[in-house]
Amino acid sequence: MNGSLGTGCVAAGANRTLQLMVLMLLPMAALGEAESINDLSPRELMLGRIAFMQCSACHAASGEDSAGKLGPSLYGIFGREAGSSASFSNYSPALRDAEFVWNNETMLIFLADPAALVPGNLMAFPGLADADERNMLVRYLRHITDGED
Amino acid sequence: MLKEGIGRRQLLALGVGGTALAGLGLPLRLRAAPERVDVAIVGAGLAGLNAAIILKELGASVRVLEASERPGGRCFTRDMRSHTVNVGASQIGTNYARINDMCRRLDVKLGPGSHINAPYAAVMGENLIAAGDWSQSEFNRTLGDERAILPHALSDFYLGQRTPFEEFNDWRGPEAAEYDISIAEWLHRQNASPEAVRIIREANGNMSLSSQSVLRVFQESTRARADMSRFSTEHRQTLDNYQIAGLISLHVVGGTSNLTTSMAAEVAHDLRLASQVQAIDQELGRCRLTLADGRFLEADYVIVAVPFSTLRHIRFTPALRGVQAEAVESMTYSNQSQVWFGVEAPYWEEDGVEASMWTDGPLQHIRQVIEPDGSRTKLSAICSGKKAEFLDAMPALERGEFALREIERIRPSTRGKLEVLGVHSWNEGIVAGGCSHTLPAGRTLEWVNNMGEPHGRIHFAGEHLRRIELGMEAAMASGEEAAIGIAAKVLT
Repeated sequence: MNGSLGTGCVAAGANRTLQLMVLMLLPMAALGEAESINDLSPRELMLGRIAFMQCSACHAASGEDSAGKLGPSLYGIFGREAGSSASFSNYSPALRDAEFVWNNETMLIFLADPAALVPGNLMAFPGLADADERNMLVRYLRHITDGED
Repeated sequence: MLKEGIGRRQLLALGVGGTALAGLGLPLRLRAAPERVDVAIVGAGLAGLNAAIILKELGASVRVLEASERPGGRCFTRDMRSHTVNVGASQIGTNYARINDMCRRLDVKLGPGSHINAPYAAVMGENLIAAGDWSQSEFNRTLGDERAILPHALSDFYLGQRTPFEEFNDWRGPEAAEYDISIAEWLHRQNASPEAVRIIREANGNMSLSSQSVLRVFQESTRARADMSRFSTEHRQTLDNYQIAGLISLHVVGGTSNLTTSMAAEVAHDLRLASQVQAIDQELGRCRLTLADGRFLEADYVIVAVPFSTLRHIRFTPALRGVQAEAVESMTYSNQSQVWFGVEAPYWEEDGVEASMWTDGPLQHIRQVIEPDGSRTKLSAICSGKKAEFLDAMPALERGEFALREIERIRPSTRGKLEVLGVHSWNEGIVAGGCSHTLPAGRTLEWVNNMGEPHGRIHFAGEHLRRIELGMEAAMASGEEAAIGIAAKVLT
């Protein structure tokens, strides 16, 4: 775009640094996921369902048909490399080229500020400021996407 | 519902309704208790309807109160003679995820967008100039690189294409402070010529560019740029952003009202039309809404999903405070006044000039609608700001006649080929009080980060509270955010 005064280069550098930090976190992440994620209480299930309402216009989560949705299905996302779902062809270059695997930690970091972890991604979501809400959403995502790490 | 020893149903069985009781001045204990719901929603536009659908789906009890006789707000499809006309929202961006998803869920059909931004000829004063002649025209008084830019595209040239932001949310962040300036100041910094500034002001309904913030423009263009990046077609080389948006957008088959009518059907009996809210009082952990006809409604929470131009007529107790009160009281809405025409013969073939016209006269934009099937049977004159005020000062019939004569004057080939279908002004009626909100230079950053905050148990929604989305999608997103914010409190 003509005349852009943007800070794309700086942002791209920050992106790479953040993604490297994420990679270094992976062993810890595996330990962190030892706790059970499937024992959500009814209240937690409702909180997760409410939080997921802000994702569901773009993403299917279970095995249901995601045709017509703008984003990829999240079914089985945990353990998958970012930007690599075989059934989705419309990834932004930024997400397609990202170098990390979706797990609890990367998902938490992404949900806090998607543009910080993957600058230039096309997911129109400003991020969840509340840490409890992020945790709840990740636990719920694990629950409904039925993925194994 | 039993209260004070007598139930509403029992009273109704006696043939006595709540409104009648209020009028009879019966002792309080004999009146029907106000209905109570988890969440009352004020306004049945996209934001309010989406909030209602989400909350109902989650299990909350809701009641949507709409002041007018129809749902939809600024989604409004009118029949004008034998033509169907969207006088409000029409273009659906390819990245409008919530709109697309709602249409899919409700089986509302989407089709290719009408090309309402077809190429424009220019009209400067009395002179009609074909697009291809503009750069060399004696009536083109712009300078340097500007000369090659058609008048309708100058705003995009200086504003839309020069957004300093990369990410959708950047316009609300601290680094945006240096851009919380007026459009006039931005144009000055870009060395725009006086004639370019005049043309951009004319396209803005002749409203002052010194008071409107350039941040709002940058929010739109940053978002639109990302959407268009998906489309690397030859169009990107030759057309401006608005034209591309016209080409790649979708529309609701049969008119945008088909979507809001379907959403209203989802809300079903929980929607009340002709129910204007006058006051909302918060006390003792609940909200009490007073309607203009004397009815009451109680709710644990309220979502007010109406434009600030309407919201400012609702009395809040306790009163709104600080930046929020300032924004509600003073947010300016630009009106849009429209005159629609049927086109009975292709006047553009007679003089060989583009059918649509950008003008510096009273009619601002004269747009030919090109339907997805290629038919060209409609034309609209669209005016905003002071130009809309000028039109609205005339009775509706005169408005149509005036616009017809004005088009015939500047475009002789249209004589005898246009028929007035109808008029519409968003400044009339009780729905919107204008068409589109503006944000004030120097205050925008503070406003957009504070004006939508909940006021106790009252949450707010509406397109004016946009964060990273545009238009109809912004309305949907704001309703979703309000619903989610309340749902966790009501349902867990």
